[in-house]
Amino acid sequence: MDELKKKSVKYISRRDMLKYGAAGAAGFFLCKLQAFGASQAPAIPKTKVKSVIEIWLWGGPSHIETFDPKISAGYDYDGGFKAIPTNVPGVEVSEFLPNLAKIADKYSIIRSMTHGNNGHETATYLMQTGRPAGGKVYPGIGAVIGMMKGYDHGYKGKIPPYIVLTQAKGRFSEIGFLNPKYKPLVTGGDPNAQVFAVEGIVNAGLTKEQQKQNRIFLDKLDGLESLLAENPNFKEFDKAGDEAYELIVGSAGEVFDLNKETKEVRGLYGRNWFGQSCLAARRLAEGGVPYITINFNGWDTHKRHFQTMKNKMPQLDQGLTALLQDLEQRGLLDTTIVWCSGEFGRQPKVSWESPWNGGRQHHGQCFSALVAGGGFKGGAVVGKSDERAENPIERLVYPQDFLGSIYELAGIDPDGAMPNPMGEDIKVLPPQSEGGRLREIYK
Amino acid sequence: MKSYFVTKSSTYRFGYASRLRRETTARHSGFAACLNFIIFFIGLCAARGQVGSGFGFCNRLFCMAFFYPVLIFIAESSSPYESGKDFSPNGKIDELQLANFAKLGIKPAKICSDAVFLRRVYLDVIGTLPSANEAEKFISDKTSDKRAKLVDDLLNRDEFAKYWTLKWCDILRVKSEFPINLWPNAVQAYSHWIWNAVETNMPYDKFARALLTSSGSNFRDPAVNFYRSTPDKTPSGIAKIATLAFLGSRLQDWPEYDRKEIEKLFSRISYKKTGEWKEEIVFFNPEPSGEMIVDMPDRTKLKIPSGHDPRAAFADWLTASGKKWFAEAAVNRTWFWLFGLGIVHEPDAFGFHRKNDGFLDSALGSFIGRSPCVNTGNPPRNPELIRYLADEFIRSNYDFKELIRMIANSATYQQSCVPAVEDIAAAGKYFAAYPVHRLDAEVLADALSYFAGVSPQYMSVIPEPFTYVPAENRTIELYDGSISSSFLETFGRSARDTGFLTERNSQVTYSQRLFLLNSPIIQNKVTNTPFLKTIIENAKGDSTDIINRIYLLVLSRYPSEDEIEKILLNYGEIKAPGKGGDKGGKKKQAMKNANFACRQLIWALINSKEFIFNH
Repeated sequence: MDELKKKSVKYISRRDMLKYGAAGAAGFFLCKLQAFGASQAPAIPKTKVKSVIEIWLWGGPSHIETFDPKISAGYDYDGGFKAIPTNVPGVEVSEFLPNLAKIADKYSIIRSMTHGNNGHETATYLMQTGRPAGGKVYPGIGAVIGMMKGYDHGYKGKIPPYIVLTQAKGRFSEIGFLNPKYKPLVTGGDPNAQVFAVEGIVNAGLTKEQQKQNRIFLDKLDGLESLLAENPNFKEFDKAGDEAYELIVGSAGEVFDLNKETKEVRGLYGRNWFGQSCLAARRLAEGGVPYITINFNGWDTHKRHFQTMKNKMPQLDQGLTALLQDLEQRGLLDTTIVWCSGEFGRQPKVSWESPWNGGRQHHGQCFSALVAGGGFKGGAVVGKSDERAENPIERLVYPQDFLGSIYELAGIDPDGAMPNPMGEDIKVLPPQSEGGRLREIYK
Repeated sequence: MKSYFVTKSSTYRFGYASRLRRETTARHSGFAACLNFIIFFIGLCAARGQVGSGFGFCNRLFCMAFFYPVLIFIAESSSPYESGKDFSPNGKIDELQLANFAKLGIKPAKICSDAVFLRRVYLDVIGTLPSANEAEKFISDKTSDKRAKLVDDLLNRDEFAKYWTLKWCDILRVKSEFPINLWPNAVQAYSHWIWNAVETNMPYDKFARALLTSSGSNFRDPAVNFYRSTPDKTPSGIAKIATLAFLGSRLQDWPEYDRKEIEKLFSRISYKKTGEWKEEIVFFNPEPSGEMIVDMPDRTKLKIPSGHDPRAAFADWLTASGKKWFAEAAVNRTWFWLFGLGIVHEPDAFGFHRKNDGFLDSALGSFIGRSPCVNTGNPPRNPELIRYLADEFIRSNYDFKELIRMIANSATYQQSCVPAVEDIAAAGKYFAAYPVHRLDAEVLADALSYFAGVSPQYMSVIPEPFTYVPAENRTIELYDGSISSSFLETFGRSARDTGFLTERNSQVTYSQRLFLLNSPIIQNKVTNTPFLKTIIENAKGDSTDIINRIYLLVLSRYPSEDEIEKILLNYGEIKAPGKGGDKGGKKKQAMKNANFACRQLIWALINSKEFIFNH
């Protein structure tokens, strides 16, 4: 049953985690303490936001080769790659992002992201939950938004409110202590394949008619049913079956049929896994799905960093550009938040020595993120890193501030209560740091 | 008039009945109405209320009794799920249950059929589906003590230790990483230690003491991982896992005074690193010196002299004045593992309140002699039963196998899942029917692998060093909770973050249904099953035989008449062509058709409630 084994996600060593971990944690707690003194936040603005699209660069993308290029740091830092101007005067991005450079007015960049944690899982956990690991396992932002903007709160879509393209982050449960019904639908399959075979929903071998026939046969044969129809477990089973069949034979599943898009549109996004995932995400946002995650892996470039960048960056550049432009053209950018980040950045000083041969190690002390749409201004840069992009020097943004902004613009009070099965008094996020949420780039 | 013809095997009835039916179709249909009418009356005379009510199949069985002289007049079954036997006490458990039923005004269900018992006890005791051969053999076995013998056999099988180790690994939080960092080496040592304890049936008091009083290296003294497998290593954090594991109680719900007292017992544990990568020593730190006095919840005062390890005092208390609580929590958890429902439920939420006057209010009833016995919070559903089980458990020297044997042999455990009373909620709550519960993620993964004729394979690239699970290992042996598997996630395996039993989730979700109904993974498994070819070829063109074999394979029982009829109606004859005669092309087509129908049938059965739920 090799298919049942883990869906492998690429992970690479993080021996340097301990080196930085302690300092980072200390910073985190310090900031938490300060936060208790922070002034009361004004009321949450009424939101038009329907969907959030998270582009998760699994492994920790280099901030220097994306949104925080350093032209003055020298070869040991930039590896000979340069910054390019964007259509917003004074804002530069890496030369690896020529297309995004042309639409810098559509998004904002945060260059002072920090949490100081260099372990993939623990840093991912921070960036997804806004909390340091340890004690209770909290749900990630996708599960929380899927719950708080989901079926209990007016969402009526047939597609589950939280979709993950195409593999889960794994390692730790994304729903934390929440009820399993808030788990994401993880599509599996390849959106760039001839048929995007969403696991369990799209079955290339069977027509809908055959599926319906099969279901009738199935119901006929279920002998125990007639004896125990009132059993609550059985009712739950039947309800889950109705939901499943809605996706299999109902029209809802068609949202995953990328062949419904024109060749040109598909081409704009790039005919690769990431590009087509972005296209699928747009279709899902169009359908009102509250939270969509694209887990784009392969950014853990300990070795041969620049070669990997040359391969991956064009896909990211093309897919993300197409997504933002397409959303805008369809009038969806105001109702859709797009954010893009990894769990941390990468060490600005390149490890030229063997065995890295031009690699970058983990760097949670300072990294960058992108936000667009849904009430975020475009064309702005928040915060600043030092001349080598090693430390944030202005307007520090911690995970809870960053996530808090997304929650806030999505209409969820980050300081409000998060419903939980234990019935405990739990807030959506811990208090914001001194710098606070990204209010300067709210529209 | 009661009928106890257990020895009338189901093979006999189902297998022969169906064959007979084909031979006598004309006669049968001719006489059916009339015979059914007569049988209906016999049924009524026998005070068998359900006969005739919608079970045409059952009536036909009665018909068979006429046609087939060997069969006895009153067949024992009204469905494939029941034996026809009424609940009749087999020991003290059942007597206590009947007494409770009388109080509540409810009735127990009938005794389940042999086939259901077989599947149930395999799943509950060894986490494994019976093979088709095992099912066939057991069903046709005519000895009267075959159920008890089966229980004994299962308790001695390798899978028993594997499966119960998995359960313990849930509550002892065995995982390499996040948020608990045991690391793979320590997970191996710890899980092997647990396995060895289960395998050798270590008395539970010794097991608890070994974990509680452990000191040493996480690699060389595996039990110390009990103290490492929590992200919160403060006295309060450790007291939480200790009370949860051994008292089935959540410290956070305790009154503050008692919480603080018991936390003292875990205040002298220290940890230190060694030069070995990821090695850690857990040890008793005698500082600060001085006598420690701990006021336990039952008002026993533990006096721990300077230089003595308070953890040992806790272990002593568990098997002395705290022993009823200790034993009740253990038997209740075992009961929960067998029924999917505890006598105290949630099984790790033994209530505990102290009233304002300082007296103890306990869900444990009268276990603490000096306190008033008001059941508040989370009372047991049958207080006498849990007390009896705990007493027996103590008397047996904390023998888990003996406990499981006693429960599995009870009529209570062997009830059908179909309640005999209208009030199904009460029946469910008070064990007046066997509570259906979904198969564990791991058990299901193994069952599906078994059908597909492949071994499950697991590996994990983090944390380092990489873990590769040997190909021949079953999923129920997957002791490291960190090894990723989207299947196991989907089907609710325990996250092992807290040790709460509720971390293992047995809900049914749409994503589980999607997976089983329509994923390519399931399709491949069904398509590639190596059993199909053998089944079709061995059947020599007999549709009924094919259907029988498939039912035995997937549901461990024979199909009913009704079911065979429905299947044949849907697919026509399912059979491979006989030897010679036909032209090659036709033969091939027939084989293809048979294959298709069989695969559809397997798919449908895998997606039935009967398969997904242990019933």
